[in-house]
Amino acid sequence: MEKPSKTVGEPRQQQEREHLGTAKPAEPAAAKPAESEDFVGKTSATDKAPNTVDEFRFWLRHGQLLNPFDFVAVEHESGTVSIGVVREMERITDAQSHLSNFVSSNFGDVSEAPNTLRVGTTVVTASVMANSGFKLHDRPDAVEVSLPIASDKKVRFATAPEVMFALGVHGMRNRVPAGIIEMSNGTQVPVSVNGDYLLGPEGAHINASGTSGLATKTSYLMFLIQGLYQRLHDDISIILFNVKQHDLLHIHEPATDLSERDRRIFHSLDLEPTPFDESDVHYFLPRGVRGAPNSEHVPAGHQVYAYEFPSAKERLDLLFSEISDPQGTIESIVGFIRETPTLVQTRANETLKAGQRVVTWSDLRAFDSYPENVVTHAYSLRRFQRHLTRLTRGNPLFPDAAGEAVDLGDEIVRIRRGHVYVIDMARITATEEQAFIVGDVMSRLEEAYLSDDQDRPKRVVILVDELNRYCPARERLSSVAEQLIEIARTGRSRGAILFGAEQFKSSVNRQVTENCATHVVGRTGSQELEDAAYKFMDRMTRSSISRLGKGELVLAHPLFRQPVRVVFPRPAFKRQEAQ
Amino acid sequence: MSTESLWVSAENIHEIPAVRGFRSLREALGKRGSFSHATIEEPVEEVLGSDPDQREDDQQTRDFPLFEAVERVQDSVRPWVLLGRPIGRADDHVFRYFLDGSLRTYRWGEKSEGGTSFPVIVTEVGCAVVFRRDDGTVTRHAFKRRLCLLLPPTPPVSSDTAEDLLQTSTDDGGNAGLNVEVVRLARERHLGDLRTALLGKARSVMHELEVSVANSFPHDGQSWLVIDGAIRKRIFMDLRNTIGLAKSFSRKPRFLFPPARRSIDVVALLRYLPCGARSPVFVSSARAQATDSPTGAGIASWYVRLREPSIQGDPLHGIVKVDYVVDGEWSAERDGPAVERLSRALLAERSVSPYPTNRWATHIYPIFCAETFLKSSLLNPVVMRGLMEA
Repeated sequence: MEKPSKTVGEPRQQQEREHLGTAKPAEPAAAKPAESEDFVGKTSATDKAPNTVDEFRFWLRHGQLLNPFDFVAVEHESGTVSIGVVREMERITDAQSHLSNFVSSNFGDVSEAPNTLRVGTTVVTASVMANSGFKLHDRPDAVEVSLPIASDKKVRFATAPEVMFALGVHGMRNRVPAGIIEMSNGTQVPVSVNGDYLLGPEGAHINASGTSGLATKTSYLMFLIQGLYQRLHDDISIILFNVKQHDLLHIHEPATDLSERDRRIFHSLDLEPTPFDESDVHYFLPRGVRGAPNSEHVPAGHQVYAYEFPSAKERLDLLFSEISDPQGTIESIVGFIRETPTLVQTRANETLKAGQRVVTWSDLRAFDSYPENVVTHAYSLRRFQRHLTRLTRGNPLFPDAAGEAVDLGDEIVRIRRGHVYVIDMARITATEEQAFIVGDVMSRLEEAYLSDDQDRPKRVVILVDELNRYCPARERLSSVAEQLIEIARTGRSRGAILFGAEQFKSSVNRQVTENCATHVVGRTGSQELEDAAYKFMDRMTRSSISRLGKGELVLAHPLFRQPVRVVFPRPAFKRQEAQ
Repeated sequence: MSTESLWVSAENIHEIPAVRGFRSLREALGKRGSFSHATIEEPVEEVLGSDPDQREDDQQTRDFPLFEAVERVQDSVRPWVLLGRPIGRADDHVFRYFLDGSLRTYRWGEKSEGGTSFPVIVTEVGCAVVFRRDDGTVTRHAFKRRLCLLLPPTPPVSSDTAEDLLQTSTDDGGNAGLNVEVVRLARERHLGDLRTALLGKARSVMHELEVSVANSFPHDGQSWLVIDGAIRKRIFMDLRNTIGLAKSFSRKPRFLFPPARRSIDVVALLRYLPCGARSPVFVSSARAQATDSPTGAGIASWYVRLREPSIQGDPLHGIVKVDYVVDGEWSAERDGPAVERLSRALLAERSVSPYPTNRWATHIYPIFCAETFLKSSLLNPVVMRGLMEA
């Protein structure tokens, strides 16, 4: 091994001399030197609270504003710059206990005015994100200095290039715009995540969680999707499940509430603040009474979807996925129905004649010619028929004859590049029906990937809001949950990318969340944050999340050493909130 | 080379004046007879005793323990003055500067020569002043440090060795007190135990430094300097707008209220002193001898109770002693209002307090800040050992 040209620990002046000669700092250490007023404090290492490879502490200059998730920079050894992100801030004084302050105030006299203010400061803990490194001989990459940062080093706000360097943006392929970092000194830094970790092959899927209404998690996922749509238009397709009123039923219409700031953010991210192209968007609305759409809003050019028995037969298990079936009796009957090419009534009953074939939901409800090994007890059959009747009788989504309604699965199998498929199910309240729709789309997508169609998109992004409904954290997995878990586990290799959102990450099956390479967390209650699902973030970050404002999100990405806080523009399409 | 940019390595350690100084001293000490280093791993940091302030005050009042009240007392049973409302900095920012001195002494070893031996003691003395801004925050105003080898008189030190040692003092200038000086104990001061006398010399060096620092900055007629501890020594007499504030004081003095002839002791004087009151002002009955001021200045003293008396324990709990430089004779017209103003301003210094530090009840916070700054600025004993043995 070649001897390094310099050894940390040598006299600084010697190192500086060498630095001026052969060794040069890597980008962005050459960023403009800070003015003295830019310094926010100085590093502080003590016996009990030493600086480490991963974090350093500094005291804050009097009157200096700083917030968690701000980026700071410190000159480090060998002319390098270390960049850190603020994690925690503590206000300390020299009072040894609260009793000291009580005594100081003349033993609890609240009117006592302090003649001298206690010595106190704010001590900031920052996590090291990156070191600019220095050039060493002919090594192609800069050598990072991992030494703990020394005490009494001046700390300043990091510059935008330094923040981008710390996030690894400079060497990132397939950048996907992910919002901007806003720092307390007004610096705004556009942030990208690595597409290889969002859409594969290195990693895939994103999960967003947070308190409803405050976290704006769906808006954020839509913002990401819009970026993907603009950047990778011909490589991807997008499937969106609309579960809230008419949130996603205007995505081809221009936004009515974009501010100048929103537009600026779009432009800083090199994105156009324009809605999805109308010709690319397909709205699928559930069939309602008399064949009319059962939706909060009916966009032009929509299609109504419904499920006749023959087309739903293969996925009948999805319809019963929410029903408790400890003995497996319903599973046995459903399995028989799926596996039998044509169901034929053998003995006439009140509805069906002997020899009549089952072609509609009505037929199925009346059908009772099951083999004895499938229905071992009459009660089991009655239970199955009772549930089937509850789910399908009078339900326009499961008609005997769908009329002009399309088979959603057939449309998904023919999925096209650059197109967006919005599947509305906001007015569908039964969990079984929602699970059936989601599960049907997933399984038909699976079929599409098994085909040899060369025109199918390389990647399909699937937005599933309220993920906890379809894939809850419980031991017994429903059919739709199994499909979602399968996508989370293996979708990366096939190009099926899950963009999932829920209020509480703890309520979603761990196999789904843990297979997500990227996580976004909005404001969340501190009790929920104690759950193991959030352990990928440290205590200080979790604490900060409970204080996030509306529209602020914490983004954890495999290439970021620490989670960062991002903000993003309002979506560039018309939204329900803006109406 | 400034201390802030010190980057020590085997190659450049000799550039530190203190290292050079200690090397020269070692050579001089080893020249004749023998010099045995302290055998334990670290040089012993000399224990100064539990209350050097009180001990010093005892010494000061030993020879002249009688003090006379210069204020007329109406009530001999309750000889005190109620101060009324404290004067906070928002009303009248009386005290702006706060000075504290500190020292650490180290036994470097034992020097034997010609059948006699003496301890070789090194001291680091420091002095810091903090300034209180209008908003109540404090900032460093001044700091000085001295490193000294305390040289006993001859004998037990031989004249040759003394000369060798005195010639080794380094003086590179501008090295933030990292030069080493040799300070010699005068023969007449060596009355008892040598080590005690050397430690007394160290305190004397500290007081010189305090005066030097106090004189190094101008302050207007309205802003006062508070020095931690008594200022009865002659060298303090020329300081203007300065008081000494003693957290602990001698119990030896006796107090006389003319024309009465019977004196009382300090406990009898102060036991019932209420919080927010002061004693009358006293001057030494043998003022000239007690202060020996070349300018004719003397010291007037009084006591202020800052804290409520403790229910049990020390009857002097929460009482500070104030030393005030009187220019010539005590004048009720001139000095009386000043005493009143200073006493009421002192009451406001109760908040905030350095509780629960030692002697917190008589400690005022800005002095505590100066003390804290000073302690953090003195050399770490491990570093000191490195300098002495390098």
